[in-house]
Amino acid sequence: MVTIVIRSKPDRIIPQFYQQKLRLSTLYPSLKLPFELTKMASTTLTCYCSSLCSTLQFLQNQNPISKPLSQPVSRFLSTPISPPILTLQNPSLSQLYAFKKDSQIDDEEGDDSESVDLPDFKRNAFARPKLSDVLPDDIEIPKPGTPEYDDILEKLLPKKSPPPPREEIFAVVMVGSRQYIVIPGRWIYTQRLKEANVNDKIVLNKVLLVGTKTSTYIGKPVVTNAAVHAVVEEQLLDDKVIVFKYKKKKNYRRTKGHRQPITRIKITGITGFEDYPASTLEAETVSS
Amino acid sequence: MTRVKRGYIARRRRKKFKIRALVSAHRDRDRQKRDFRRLWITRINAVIREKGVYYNYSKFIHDLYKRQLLLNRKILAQIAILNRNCIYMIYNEIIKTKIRKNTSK
Repeated sequence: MVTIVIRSKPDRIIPQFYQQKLRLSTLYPSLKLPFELTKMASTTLTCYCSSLCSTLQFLQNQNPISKPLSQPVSRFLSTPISPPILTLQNPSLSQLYAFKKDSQIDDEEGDDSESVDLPDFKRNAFARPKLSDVLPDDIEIPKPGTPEYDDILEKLLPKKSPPPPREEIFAVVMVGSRQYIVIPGRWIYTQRLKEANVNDKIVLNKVLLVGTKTSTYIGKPVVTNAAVHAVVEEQLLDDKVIVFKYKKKKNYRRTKGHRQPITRIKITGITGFEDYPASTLEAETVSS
Repeated sequence: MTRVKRGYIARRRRKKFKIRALVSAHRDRDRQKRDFRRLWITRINAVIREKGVYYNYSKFIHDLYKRQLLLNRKILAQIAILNRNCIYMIYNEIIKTKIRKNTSK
């Protein structure tokens, strides 16, 4: 007995290739479902995969209206099956050809039970199922490179919007006796600011350098009246650091964990530097 | 020979390596501060030496303090990499007092 447990996986685990295939079913509605289900199955025996696909394809062929998988299988094998778990007997040749003999096939909706001409499938255990095997014959698959393929890709792939424009300015700020290069729109971790609560607006006054695209303002030591505006995002503890003291052969070891309290600050803007004398690349000419 | 449990030897080996790892981490956290400072100094030195035959890191730092600039080595090294012109502008600022002194003499 080959047991195939088909569990639905969330979309993000299915690789992009299969996601595209799944979405193709919306473009080509007569796409056969079993192909996707076998790909999503978490436990399959790979050596039987191709034959499984072909048998499932065959079984699906029996029912021209595409139905959930468990129904046709249970009908043919006449064994009680609960919907989430699907069990197939090891498809032996005799069993496959047994379907040929049973020309009467029960159908709930009263479709014509036709004797189906089985295609000559060669039992190649290692053949990879192709997309062309599964798609109906009248549909043309657009080849990569053609404009039709690009059209489909545009519809399927998620659209990336360009990053929002950022003010081209940076400042060097001193916080908690440490200096940071600061850009509006980004956040930094600083030492814990004790009185600040979350979503408080903060003004950092110790601005040592401001640089724009056109000029630099170098503070001696501080750029006067410059201010960096920030918002406190979070007051958190840093990742744990294990302080481990050890002396060898003296049976001395001490273990201690340490989490430094820090604050995450988001920089909103840099102001107040315009009046400060800017520096230039030219060396200063000696005034007489 | 008496029976020794199978995991006994492995556990002792793992304990030894775990101890070594923790000790290294503790020691290297202090070393990290020294290492980075060395790196920054080397980088600043490399950039500043382009500015003249007899100009180097030591003179640069000396002039920096004379001019009362508070920028530290980390920031200077970062600026040297990201924004080379900025460092040259800082250099020009520092040099100004020297030129004045020379001319006044």
